[in-house]
Amino acid sequence: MMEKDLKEVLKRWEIPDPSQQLDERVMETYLRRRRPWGILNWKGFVRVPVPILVLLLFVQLVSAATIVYSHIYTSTLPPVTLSMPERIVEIPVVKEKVVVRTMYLPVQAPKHSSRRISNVQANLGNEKEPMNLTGFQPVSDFQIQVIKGGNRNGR
Amino acid sequence: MLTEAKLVRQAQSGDATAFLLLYQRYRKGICGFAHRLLGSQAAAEDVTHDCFAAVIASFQRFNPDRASLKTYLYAMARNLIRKHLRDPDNESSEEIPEDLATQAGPLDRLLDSELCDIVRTAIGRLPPLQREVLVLCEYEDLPLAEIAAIVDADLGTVKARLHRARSNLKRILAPYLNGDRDSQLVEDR
Repeated sequence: MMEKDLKEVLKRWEIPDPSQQLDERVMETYLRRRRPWGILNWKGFVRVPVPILVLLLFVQLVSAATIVYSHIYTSTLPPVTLSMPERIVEIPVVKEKVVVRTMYLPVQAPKHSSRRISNVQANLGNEKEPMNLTGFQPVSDFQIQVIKGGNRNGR
Repeated sequence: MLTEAKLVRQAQSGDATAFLLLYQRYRKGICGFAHRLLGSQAAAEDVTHDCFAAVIASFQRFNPDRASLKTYLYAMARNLIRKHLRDPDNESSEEIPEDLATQAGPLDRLLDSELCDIVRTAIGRLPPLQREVLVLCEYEDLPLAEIAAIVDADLGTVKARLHRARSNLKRILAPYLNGDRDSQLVEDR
């Protein structure tokens, strides 16, 4: 038998076309599994212990209830408007007080009291004997006398 | 004219029309391939559906620039057919009449029908590896290189299987096809 004869004989075996039910099944499968436009299919899983899952659900439930309650509460209450009369209030301000203090520095003693100075110096040099101010009293009134400076003998 | 790669990309994006065009291009070939290996139209349609469903499920991973959809589909169908043949729970294929002389009808139709049954029986008696290569070559008109890719074998192996399949067929069909087909069939009666 030649190859050509064999091919001719083999072509005698004809098979029916696929049924319409097959077409519908395949298209239904495609439409069910196709990816929608613009949406990415991300799949993943996380193992969560049951107590933590229960806790998370509880927290979620409480927070959801809080949100719903606060939403209902704020929606039912009328909006509060603060209307108070205007009033002018004077606030006392403490002013700063300036205090002036005059300080007097010791002036050089005149020459005619050199004996007293020498006395004082003797006392300072000899600190064994402290200065005795017993009976000292300031004068009741004093008079200021302005003396022109210069040589005292030339007056 | 839309190329196959473009159609595949459109179908991957969710274009049902593109998928329908691809399906209509290959549905008959895949179903015929399954039918000729399983011997049952119902089983062939189940395999065809499973084949396209598997392709749809893994459609996003298919790169049309790297492989041909045709090769991909036939390779998928081949795996499903082999799985179907291995599974003992599946329904047995259609009865292939051993006694070819039991059908009635007008003589010409009877002879054609009987010749069809003879060919089907002869192909059904081939070893599975020879049968699939013969069906892909003779009925699906696929080139040998593509058949080699589908059955995951070397080109030389495919040629050898095809040669053995043709030799077996010639031997099986020889009593009926030596030029006096009608007389041989009448003698069988």
